[in-house]
Amino acid sequence: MIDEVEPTSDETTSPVGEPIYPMGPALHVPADAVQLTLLDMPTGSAVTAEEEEHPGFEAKSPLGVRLPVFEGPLDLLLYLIRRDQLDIYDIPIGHITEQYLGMLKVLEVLDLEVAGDFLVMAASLMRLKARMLLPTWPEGEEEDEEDPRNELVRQLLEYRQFKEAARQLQAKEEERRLLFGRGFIPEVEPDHDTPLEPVSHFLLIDVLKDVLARVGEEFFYHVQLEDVTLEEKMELVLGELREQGRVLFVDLVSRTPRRVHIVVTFMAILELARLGRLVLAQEKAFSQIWIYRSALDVPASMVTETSDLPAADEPVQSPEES
Amino acid sequence: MEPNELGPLLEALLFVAAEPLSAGTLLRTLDDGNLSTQDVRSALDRLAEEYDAQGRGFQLMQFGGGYQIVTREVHAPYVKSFLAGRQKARLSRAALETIAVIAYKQPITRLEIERVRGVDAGGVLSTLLERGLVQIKGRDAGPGRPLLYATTQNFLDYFGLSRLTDLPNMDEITSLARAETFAWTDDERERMEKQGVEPDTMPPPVPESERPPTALEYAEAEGEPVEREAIEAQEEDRAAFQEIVTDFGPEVGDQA
Repeated sequence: MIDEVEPTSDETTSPVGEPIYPMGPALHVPADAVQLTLLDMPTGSAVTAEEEEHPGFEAKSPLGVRLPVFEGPLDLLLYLIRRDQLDIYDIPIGHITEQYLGMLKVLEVLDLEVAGDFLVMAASLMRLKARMLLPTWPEGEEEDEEDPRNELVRQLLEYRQFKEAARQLQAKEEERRLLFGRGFIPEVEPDHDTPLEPVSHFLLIDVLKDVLARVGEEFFYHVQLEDVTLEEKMELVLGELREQGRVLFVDLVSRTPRRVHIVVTFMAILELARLGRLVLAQEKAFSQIWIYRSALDVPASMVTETSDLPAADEPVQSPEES
Repeated sequence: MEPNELGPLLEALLFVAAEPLSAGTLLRTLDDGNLSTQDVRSALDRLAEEYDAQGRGFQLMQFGGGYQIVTREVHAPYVKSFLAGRQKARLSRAALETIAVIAYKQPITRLEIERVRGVDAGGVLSTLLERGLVQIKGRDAGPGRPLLYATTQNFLDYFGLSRLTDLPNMDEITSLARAETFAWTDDERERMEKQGVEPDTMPPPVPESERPPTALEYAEAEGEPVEREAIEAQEEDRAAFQEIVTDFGPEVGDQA
């Protein structure tokens, strides 16, 4: 067991006694710093047999070591404080830094991704440790100078509070989950009779391609001003819909053999769909695409029951007209 | 409207509603100038009492400032199996912690949330926004005018709270947090039981700074007569127990 997690090659090749610069110029440096500091620790495996027995270890790794799932660096620190019965108001920074880095090492050995937040904390711990080691100059005489650990203590206390608040909320959540209101509508099984399905733009373009293919290539080019405007075609489409209630997409687009008309009509339909003034729908995949004037103009019966679907040639009255 | 008509009418509205309805909404729906929200509230209270007295399968509860007819806890197992997992997933611990921070410190910026939790909050925040538990309340006046997050009505409903002041009191939480830090974890309890130790008879490991005075210390400090024998027996238990405790605390990377 112990042998399996013996120091990695990184450790054996790194120069021992290299100075540590935890607050290196770039953010990625702390990762290295972690590696190097570990050399200062007594040699031997980072994972012991007892560790497997460790309380709070939850996640199972391939090595069979159970690791606690920590919500973040503060959570990990609280865990260590509790485990080692440290005084949260007087944290031995040297000890906790060592333990913290040891934990990170375990995570690393187990090949778990150590999030950047953990490394940032490692760096601040090492900076704190360094500051604690610095002698205070007598002429500094700043009596009120704060203990450099205070900020960390405040952070830990605050986090501990919200961790508990989260636990309380979780209890509330559990209680509330036992009470069911209305609105739990059984999920509708995908029904083969579902009358109308939304139509994607890609399908529309496919159909357009078909229509264009049907028209065939135009071999003769007439230099002739085509006075086709989008507005005109939009009016035409709406007029058609006003009369018919609904129109087959293919019919509407292929009414004229001229490509430019087809294209502009198609654009008019897209534009009207965008404006919400017409609705595209089909009975099922690959069936005819129908154009309705607007969502409100789709007869309610069509949406709910297929049997009520009128024959294709039977014009549907829009409610506004009837 | 007769008072005896009001109850059934409110019942009808609550019956069709999928969300909590506030007394104000109900009053507006009734559109009766002679009624006040107080009338609506007392009619609802009577309705709730009726349901309880009759032992109905549902009850009238207040969530997020609204009233809702919900099932009773005792039937939860059956309702749950009937709905077959269609209930939304529980919030993750990260989400719970994040929403706790927001709930107590709202309106709050993302940066402040991250400062408290010590981890990135982006992913969790978007989950909470998606689930409608959190909303963007506006922008902070500070540099960069960061977005401000706050909880929603839906948040209250989700946690079964009527209003924000129903949140557990922060002082209570502080003392609970202290106690919890030094309470046995489930894992430890399990292990202790395996070793034949009843966890509740054993004090959890409390460091000197946060440890309340022992009975002996207390008695001495108060100048009370001391039942020495009983206290010493207790202390002995404690010492014996400490040996078991040390088994639980291996040191990572600290091998001699």
